[in-house]
Amino acid sequence: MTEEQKNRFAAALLRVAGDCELLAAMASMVAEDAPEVLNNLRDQIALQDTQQVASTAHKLKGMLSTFETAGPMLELEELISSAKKGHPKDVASHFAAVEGEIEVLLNEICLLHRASSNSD
Amino acid sequence: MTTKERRPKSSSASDSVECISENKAILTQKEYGPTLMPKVLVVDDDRSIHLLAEKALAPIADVFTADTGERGLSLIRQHDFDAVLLDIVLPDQNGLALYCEIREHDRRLPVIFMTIEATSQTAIEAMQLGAFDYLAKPLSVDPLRDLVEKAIDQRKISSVPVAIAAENDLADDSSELFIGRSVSMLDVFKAIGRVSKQDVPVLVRGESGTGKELVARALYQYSHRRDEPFLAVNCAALPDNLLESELFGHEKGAFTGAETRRIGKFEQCNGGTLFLDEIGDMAPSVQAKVLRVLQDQRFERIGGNNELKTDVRIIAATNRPLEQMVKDGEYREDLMYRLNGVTIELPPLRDRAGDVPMLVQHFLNRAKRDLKKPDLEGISPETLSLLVAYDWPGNVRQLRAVIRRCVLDSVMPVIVPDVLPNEIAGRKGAIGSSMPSATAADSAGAMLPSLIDRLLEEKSTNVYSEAVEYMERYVLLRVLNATGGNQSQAAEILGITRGKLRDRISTYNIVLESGVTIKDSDK
Repeated sequence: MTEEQKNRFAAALLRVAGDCELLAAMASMVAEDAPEVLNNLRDQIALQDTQQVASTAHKLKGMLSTFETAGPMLELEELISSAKKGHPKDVASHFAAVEGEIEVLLNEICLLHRASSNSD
Repeated sequence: MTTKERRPKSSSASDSVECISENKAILTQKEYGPTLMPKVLVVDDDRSIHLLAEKALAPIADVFTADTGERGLSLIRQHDFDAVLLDIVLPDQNGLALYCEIREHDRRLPVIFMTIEATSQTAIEAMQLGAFDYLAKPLSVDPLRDLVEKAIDQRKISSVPVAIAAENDLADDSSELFIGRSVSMLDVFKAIGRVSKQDVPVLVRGESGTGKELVARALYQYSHRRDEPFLAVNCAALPDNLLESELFGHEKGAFTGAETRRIGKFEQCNGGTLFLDEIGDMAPSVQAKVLRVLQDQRFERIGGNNELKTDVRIIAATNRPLEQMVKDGEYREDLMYRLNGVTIELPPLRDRAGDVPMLVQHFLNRAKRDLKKPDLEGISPETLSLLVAYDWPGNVRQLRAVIRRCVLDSVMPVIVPDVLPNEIAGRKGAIGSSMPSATAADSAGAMLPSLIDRLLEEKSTNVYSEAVEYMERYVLLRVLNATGGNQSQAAEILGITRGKLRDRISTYNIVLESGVTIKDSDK
């Protein structure tokens, strides 16, 4: 894990008691599982299946929150809230606002995993 | 023995073996062979949470994981777990519903809920159902380990036989007054028996919370007047003029605001028993009228000319030193002798610690019934030892409040020391040692909100008394400062007697210097 990554994920590292290895192992799992969850979310939003959207977005938020608790997580919370209320337009609007940020975060998580693999 | 002492073991990846494999790694168990390590189940569909829990809990427990509610429940039926970490949102069912099934299987199993959806509503619902605790995601290693360790310890404590079992049926539904086998309480019972049927005034003495009113009620119940009224008046709760009106009544137009005639307690209670609590806090003018009733059962309403006759038995109570008050000229000697012809002295609870277990049993049974806690089994031996060892400054009333609070707060079937207030469990931050000090901010009364916050945090069962004491101390200091230490003026401004003011000055160790400066000595 580079110094830059340690700074970027300082809060997450603090939560895992400074265990870089554990954070990288968690990153590996999330990097593997989250893209599929994100794709499911996209499909469900397109189908306006707000019930499923709420459930899937909740799962995605749970996975990503290990690494980030601000920014996109707050927007995801809004998305989940709109989905629970059955407002597909609001859901789509929130998703459009947060999708890019989620992809950036996922990329950072993938890099965290790769950096760890390379250093082994 | 703490869980950490049980056996910390290496937790390398090679230690793990996959027990069930469907889709992804669903169930893994550290292969330690035969072990006494506690077992913890993590039910969550996020495998990174499984990994985090395995790493965090490796030093204290064997971790099993399940990614659905169904698999989690299946494991719970196969294994004897010591704690469960349960995600509230699961792919196949709601975690709260699963929790109810777990409770049906094993109601002593501590369940800690986890969720990213940290809403107050979910937290309240989870705790109402009886969850051990509630964790918001993202999880942190250290707090997670500490909480699970606590749950494991409570599971262990809950598994030992209880020292006192909470009964469903109240075999003995009698008053708490009659709970006790100590010599001093037997003396009280005997005294009640001796004097209840005699039509004499009785003075009940004892510290606050010892049950003085209960003695008065018992005297009434066993008297010939049991079918007549029993009325109680707290003499300290009313200003002097209102107390006089309350006791003796008034005629229409007797004073401003007296728009109708009022019948006082002595008249209402004709033929019955009148309990005068805090009799030491009575103004001299009222003392004189009460003395007359005691002597010849005659009085007049305020503003009235007609002499009225009544037949009332007076039972009085106080925790104030009447003899000293007589010496200081604050209390009528003749009234004191009239009142204490028969005196019943109630011992403080600290002087009859042997009665504590019986009282605990009594209050526990009542709380179980009143608070609808059918799963409550009882109190652990360690908790009982702490309760017996405590000195109970608030006496039986405080013990009753503590037991009710413990029953309310306990999420386990057995009450363990963790739920006791700090001052009883002997933890740091005990109330007695952290009373507000006499700093400038304190004198200004600014610490009241933080005092209450702290008492609530410490699960105090004496908040009212502590807060009132703090406020009273502040009011006295403020008024005495305003009068330059002149006690007569201060008493007038405060609307209390000089005797009462002197008593409070002494109680709060307020030192008057040079007649002007008021120094509040450390308590």
